[in-house]
Amino acid sequence: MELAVVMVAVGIALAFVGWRVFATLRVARGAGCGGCGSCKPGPTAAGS
Amino acid sequence: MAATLAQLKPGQSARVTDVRGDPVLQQRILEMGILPGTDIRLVRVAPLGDPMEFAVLGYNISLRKSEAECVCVETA
Amino acid sequence: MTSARHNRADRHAVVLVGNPNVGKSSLFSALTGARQKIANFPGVTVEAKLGTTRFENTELSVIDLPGTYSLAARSPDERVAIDALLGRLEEVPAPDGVVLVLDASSLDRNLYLGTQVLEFGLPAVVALTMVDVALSRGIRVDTARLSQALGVPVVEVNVPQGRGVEELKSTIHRVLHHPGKALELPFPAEFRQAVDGLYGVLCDLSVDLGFKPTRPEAMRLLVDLGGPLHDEVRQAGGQAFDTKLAEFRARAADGRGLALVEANARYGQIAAWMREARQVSAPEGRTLTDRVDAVLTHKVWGSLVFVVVMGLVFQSIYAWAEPLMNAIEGAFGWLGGTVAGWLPEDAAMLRSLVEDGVIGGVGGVLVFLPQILFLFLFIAILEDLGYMSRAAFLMDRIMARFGLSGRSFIPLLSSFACAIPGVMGTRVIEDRNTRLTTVFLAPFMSCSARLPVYTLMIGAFVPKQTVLGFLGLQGLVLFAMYWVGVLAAIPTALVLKKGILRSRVTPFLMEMPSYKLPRPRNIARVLYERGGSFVKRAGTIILAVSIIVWAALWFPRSDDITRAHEQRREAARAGHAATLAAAAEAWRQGMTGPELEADPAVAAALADMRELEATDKAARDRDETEFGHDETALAEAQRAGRAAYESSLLELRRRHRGALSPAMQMLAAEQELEEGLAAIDNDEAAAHAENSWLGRAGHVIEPAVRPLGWDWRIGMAAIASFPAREVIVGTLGTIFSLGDVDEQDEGLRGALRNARDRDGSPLFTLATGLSVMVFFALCCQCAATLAVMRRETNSWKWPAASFFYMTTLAYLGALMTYQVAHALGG
Repeated sequence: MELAVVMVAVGIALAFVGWRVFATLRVARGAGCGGCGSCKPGPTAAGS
Repeated sequence: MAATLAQLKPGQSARVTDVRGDPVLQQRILEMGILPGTDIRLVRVAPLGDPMEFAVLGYNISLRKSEAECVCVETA
Repeated sequence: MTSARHNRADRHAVVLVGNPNVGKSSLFSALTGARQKIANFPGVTVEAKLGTTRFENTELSVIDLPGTYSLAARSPDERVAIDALLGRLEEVPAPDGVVLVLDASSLDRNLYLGTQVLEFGLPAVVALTMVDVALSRGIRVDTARLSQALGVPVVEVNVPQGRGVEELKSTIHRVLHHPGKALELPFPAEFRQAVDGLYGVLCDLSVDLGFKPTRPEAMRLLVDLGGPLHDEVRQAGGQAFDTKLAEFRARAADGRGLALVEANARYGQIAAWMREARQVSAPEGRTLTDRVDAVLTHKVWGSLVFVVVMGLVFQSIYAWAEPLMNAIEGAFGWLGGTVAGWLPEDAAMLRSLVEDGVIGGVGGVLVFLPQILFLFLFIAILEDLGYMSRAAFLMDRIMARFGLSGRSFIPLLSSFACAIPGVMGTRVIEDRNTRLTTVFLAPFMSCSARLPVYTLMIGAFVPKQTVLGFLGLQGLVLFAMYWVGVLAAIPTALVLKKGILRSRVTPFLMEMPSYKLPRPRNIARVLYERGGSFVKRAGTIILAVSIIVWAALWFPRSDDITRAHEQRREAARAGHAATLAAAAEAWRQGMTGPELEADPAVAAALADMRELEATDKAARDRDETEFGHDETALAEAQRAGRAAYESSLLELRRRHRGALSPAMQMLAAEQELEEGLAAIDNDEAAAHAENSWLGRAGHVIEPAVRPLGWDWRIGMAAIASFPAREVIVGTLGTIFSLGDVDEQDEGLRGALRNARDRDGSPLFTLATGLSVMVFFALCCQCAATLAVMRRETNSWKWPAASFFYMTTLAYLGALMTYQVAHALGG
């Protein structure tokens, strides 16, 4: 039980870091971010 | 050699006659309204002698001495 | 990418364009309610910002562009404005109209950009700001005549008073339903013909270019040298295009510079308009700004004020934040205890995860929140006032010696608190190469997270002595550590600026905005946003990393280690029981340990004894804080305290007679047991750490850190500190068998002094301590800084370069320090 809780916590932490790394790499290639919402991206460009 | 902005005394006014030097710097100086025919006044010089602050077209701008040397002026 | 505008009728977009410092950002906030940083410094916004507002049934997207003085596109940075106007930016809607924000107090310069924008022919509205400032200088603008001259509506706006914003919205709504008309200025005929000719050539190339060129772009291509558009067109049109462009330029120039032709035409037209639309009633006298500047940029007073202001910033960061930081530390300690109380007693792993991983990790970072808020409070006030431009003005000469600009000074100064706001602060530097150099240098400044490392090492290994009769050696070493970073930064700056990041010219050319009163709401918003994003980071990515580091230090868990230490604990408890039994026997024949504990006379003596110990400890702590800086006074106070303790002890002995002796023995045995159990806990933690994945990795890297005078434990602590350097204090504490100790703990200093290498010699010498400090001074151990560097430079190249360069430099610096200090016998 205890181990399960810890495993889930570590799993979530790893997944979160992985997601952030992936999102940052995507931004590096010029794509939009993973969408944390803090930078308030607007509607996508019309016609692009 | 014509006088330049760098040779003005604090409080002294002059009229710009020419802008020289690197083309990109020239363009930037011109865009800020420092172009032949404009009146300009040296407001003050920084404590270490560089940069210098000028009043032109109702606002203040600071230029390095080397940049001020690109602007030729005639004093009244 | 095309500029097609197929926004629906109930959905429009406008773009805000204007000079820096004209109140554009505040207007944006007033229109959209979106939170955005506003500051009284030219060029504070670099990216385009987006927000939405509603007018009647229409949704209006508002795009805020970086303030600019001209649409000249000499660099990719400068081209953003044109691309946004033409709807060529991804993630930004193509604008249906323009709001031209003009400062009424310096209309001429503002209209230079204005004429360039109106040539694009988008439906436009002028928002006239700073009308009150203009009036106070005797400048009256006739909005009707200005509107007539420009051919677009003009609306007076006063954002602080909330006037004109609604009218501006309705005017925008009105103009969007009519096609705009391109402004035509009386350029010389040759110039106009050259623009038309070049426009024709561009249109022929439009298929290869991939977008439909516009006439204003043709003018930019004609006038601006070496712009990004030229590179694109050259790719499409080849060498033949360059020949044609040269011909057009020669024809249009008519022997004069093209930039001069353009500026003459624009400013000539502006002057003509101004004669009609502006009255200057009072001769220009000395404004308040002028009078204030006479002091603030004065040779003597200016420098003095500057030093005092900077001193205040440092003072606030180091001293004023201290009580708040202690409060946060205390709060997290309490939280850890409380949460641990909720968890089941036997769930050691879960408790460690919560206490050491989650609360230890996040709390350790949140402790820096007050410092960050103080720093941003000062930066926000100084920016709002307009003082930053003056600081740059004062420092430019010194910074220029290292190939930097005066504007690099503030970001680098901020970096002494934290490199993150420093790197973000480089946005005020216009020249890209100077900006990149400053970003690269920021992590070299000794930030506040390095301070705990310095304090720990200096406290442990630098003797408390004075040199030259009055300077404390410890303080001197600390001061020297701050210079290590600066001294490494200077040659780095010179190499970067003279080498790969050479700029053709680094124009300073900075507007000196007039002073404005700081707006409390704006400052509150900056603090809220900065503080909020810091807390958010601590709650997300730092939390996740803390958990992962904790797991790497916890797993794999060896039961053998746990069992061995459990046996030692039992032995210690048995030892305690035996001591107790001996004390009981000595006091009264045949008495057992439990009977002794139950004896009322002994219990009373024990209670008094505990109270005496507590009072004495409190007195010693008080003396330490009160006289800590004065050794003679401290010794005197300690003598007095000792005497008071002795006399109280005599008093107790009289009161309790024989019962005091067994009480004292019980107290001593109790303390011994506590200390013994704590030592076993720490030994166990150390043994588990050594067995953990991180510990095993430490053994692998040991050969690499040996030349620095380190063993695997220091190397491991240093590696664990790469995400955030302050981690080393906690990590060293754990590894050196003392659990979670902070840098003020004499215990960790003592443990470091007593730590032995495998051959039995002291692990830490002065040389090792210095080598650790130099490594931390030069190393870029901060994942957040690297991430911000990436965001601000928009490339992984810079953070990667910074990381490898600084790590190499740190290694070599530590190697040199250790080898030299060791050879000198340190």
